[in-house]
Amino acid sequence: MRYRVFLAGWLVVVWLALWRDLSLANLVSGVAVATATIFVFPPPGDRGRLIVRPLALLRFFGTALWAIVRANIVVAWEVVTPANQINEGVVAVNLHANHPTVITLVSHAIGLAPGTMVIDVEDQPDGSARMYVHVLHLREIEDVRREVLDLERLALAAVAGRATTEEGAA
Amino acid sequence: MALISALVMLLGAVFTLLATVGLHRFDDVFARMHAAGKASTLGLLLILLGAGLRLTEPGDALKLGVIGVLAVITIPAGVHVIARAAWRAGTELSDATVCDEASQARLDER
Amino acid sequence: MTETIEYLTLALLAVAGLLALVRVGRGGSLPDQVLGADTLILVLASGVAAGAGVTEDTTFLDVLVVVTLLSFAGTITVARYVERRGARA
Repeated sequence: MRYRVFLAGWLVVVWLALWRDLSLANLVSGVAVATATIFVFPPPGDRGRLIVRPLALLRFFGTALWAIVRANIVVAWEVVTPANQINEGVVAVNLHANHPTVITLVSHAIGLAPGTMVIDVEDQPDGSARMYVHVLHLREIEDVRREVLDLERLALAAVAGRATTEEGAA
Repeated sequence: MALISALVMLLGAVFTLLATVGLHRFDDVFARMHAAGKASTLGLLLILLGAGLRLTEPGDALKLGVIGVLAVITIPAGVHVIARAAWRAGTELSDATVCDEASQARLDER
Repeated sequence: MTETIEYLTLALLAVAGLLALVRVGRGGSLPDQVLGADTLILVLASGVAAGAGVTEDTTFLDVLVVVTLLSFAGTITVARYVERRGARA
């Protein structure tokens, strides 16, 4: 339920932004349209309920934003320096959760972090997910795994309900 | 204020340029995706920030903010989808690859 | 001074767009070209935003929202096609 309110709030913000004029009439009409949209197209909730914790979510987004800045300094350095020191690698990481939203959040954070990118995610037969991460500078495989699992921990703290903290799908 | 906005936008343009230079500099499609995806995002965000410093009306600033949020959500997802398609279509990794656990899994499946 | 910086910004973005376009043309493999096209649209969006900041004309910001979303949808569609077809140029 809180998740739907969160989504509806985001729709209201987009509505206000597109109308450009932050007046009361726009706010009321925005809330009406957002609520109607959430009713007509409810978000798919069959993979387990999500609980949105705003503070943990903000912390996750803050980590992601700081990762963008770090990543771009690294990329700028890479592009400008003439020497080619790239040793790429693809590392497999076993995630704990199998909920699509958690996997999406972790994939975005990895995509914005320096030197890492998600190539594929596979469902394992025991219900968990296996994520293949492509790394630009591979030094230690375990470091990459630790970084990904840290991100996953932050994401779970932000949106996990009871269903996602158990092994396997709800 | 206009000067600060122009400088921030210039920084954004520099990052976007670095992204496209990276497209040519790296010789592996996955490395190119690293450069293009991350640097383009920050470039666009910086340009939006610079424009926001100048267009200070709340409605305009909110619109720029929404565009920024949409960019951060869609650009990494788009780059990931290209990476996944390239991987599943069988693109080879470059010679500089050190470790490849995903190819192991692909070979094991076959 | 400010004007010079603004012109420089737009010139850099133009060069970036040109480089992305060259990547689409040179290719190497199909995913390279898809990546070049996606980056080209991003540079276009950055250019529109920079133009709006420079001229203080907010008419085209709605275009930016739509372009961002449509480029995302287009990239996903083309990527699915690449997945099925194989990565040959």
